[in-house]
Amino acid sequence: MKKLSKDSIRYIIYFIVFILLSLLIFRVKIVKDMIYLVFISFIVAYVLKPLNERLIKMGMNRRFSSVLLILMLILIFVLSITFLIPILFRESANISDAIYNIEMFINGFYEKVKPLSNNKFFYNLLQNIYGRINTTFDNAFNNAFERVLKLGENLLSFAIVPMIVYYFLADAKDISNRLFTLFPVKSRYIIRKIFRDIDKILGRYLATQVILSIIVGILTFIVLLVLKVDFPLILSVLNAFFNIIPYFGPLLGALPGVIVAFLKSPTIALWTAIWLYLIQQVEGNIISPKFIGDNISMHPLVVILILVIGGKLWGFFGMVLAVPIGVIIKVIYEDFNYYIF
Amino acid sequence: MSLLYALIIGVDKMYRKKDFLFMKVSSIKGKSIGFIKDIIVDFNIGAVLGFSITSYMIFQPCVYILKNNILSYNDSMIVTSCSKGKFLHFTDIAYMNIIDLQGNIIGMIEDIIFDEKTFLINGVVVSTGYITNFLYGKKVFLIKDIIIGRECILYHGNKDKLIFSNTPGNALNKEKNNEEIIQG
Repeated sequence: MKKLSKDSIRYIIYFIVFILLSLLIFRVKIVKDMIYLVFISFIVAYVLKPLNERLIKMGMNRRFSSVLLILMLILIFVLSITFLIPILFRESANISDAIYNIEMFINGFYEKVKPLSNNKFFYNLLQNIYGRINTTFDNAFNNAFERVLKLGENLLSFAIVPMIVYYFLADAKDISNRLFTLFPVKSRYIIRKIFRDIDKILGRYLATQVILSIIVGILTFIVLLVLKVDFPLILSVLNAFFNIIPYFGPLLGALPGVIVAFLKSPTIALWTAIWLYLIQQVEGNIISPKFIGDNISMHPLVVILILVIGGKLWGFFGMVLAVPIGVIIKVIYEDFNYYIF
Repeated sequence: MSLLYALIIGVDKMYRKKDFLFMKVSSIKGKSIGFIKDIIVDFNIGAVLGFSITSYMIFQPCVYILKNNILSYNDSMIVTSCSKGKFLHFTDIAYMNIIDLQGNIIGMIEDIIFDEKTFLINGVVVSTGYITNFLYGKKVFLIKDIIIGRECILYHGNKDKLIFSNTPGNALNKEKNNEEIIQG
């Protein structure tokens, strides 16, 4: 038998280590939880990073500004809990009414088209649709409830997040330097450059997305308040949150608002739809291209396709993460295409 | 011959598109204006005129930065002023087909190589395809051998002369690679 060369032995060892690592990451619950925690903290730190840099530029100590940011984050969190939650509860007490109304509306519709049910095909179809709608509503609420419970369970582990974020902010350089030692010395320079390129594009993308979401949330809140649609707070928060997803997000976010407005009267629903559409247009055509459109320089078709893939893989979070991951892959490909030649 | 080495080895005396893309642009007072989006070129005189930028300002967008207004650049660029106008963007001609005198398609323009000090364009990098790039390498054409047309680019270089190409070598091991090339 031919003896294995040194190279192939090395590759086999790499392969085994890789498999073991991925098993460790995806199978062991403790490791999985830890990585999840670090990932969340990393995202928070990454969003806060531009703010931190700005504070440092204004002449603040890095540690002090990091502490300040963390304290601000905690303050906002506590404030939002103390102020928002009661309002949310007050609003959600009325939600059951709204759901009842929606059900009545569907029932009314059902009654209207009942004459059709003599036809067996239509009868089945209607039954099917009715059942579907009911189960979807039930599922959505159960899911949301379960999520909230789970969050409460994990509150203790989430309490560590601010600390991790602090160290990510304060010691970013040391941590990244240490992490780079994972790579061989020869390739470290290029890998560092690739990371810098990713950071250049992704950092701006994330920061502007957050700012735009806040703007859209506030504008939606004002519109809903003026039009006297129920639950302005929940709906605007929802719209702001969904706004992170390009193309599909605004539609998904505006839909609940329009439906709730429809319960009041069709004209208000129409106005809500028009105003939300206007906000989207202003955001999408005037503000966003200034920062994002040229930033990621990806064709809309590609963005839509990766959004669909992300949605299919991990649902909502897949859609949120799809564009950043797509950007990372694109930058890596482009850099390889540049440095390899 | 130095040009050849510079093209192959990538001596720091020439720039490519990527060296400037997404570079931050600030005014002389330290106010950030925007970031570089594209390169503006003039193939008639064969030079890079400046850069097109994405402006942070919503109401007074400043679109172009001409070469004469650039004070310095490294990680970010400092400019004295910016201007408006109508220029040929590099992306307008990127991914245009290049044909030779017989009408055969040779490839697509992917990148330009220009001089550090004079900003004169030395040549264009021609991609032959996503996969063939990695197998057979990219081609490098000199600026004097191409004519920009409306729909495609004509390459009228003499094929019997030198043709530059760039094959992926050991990118991570640059020093060793250089030695081999020089020895060869």
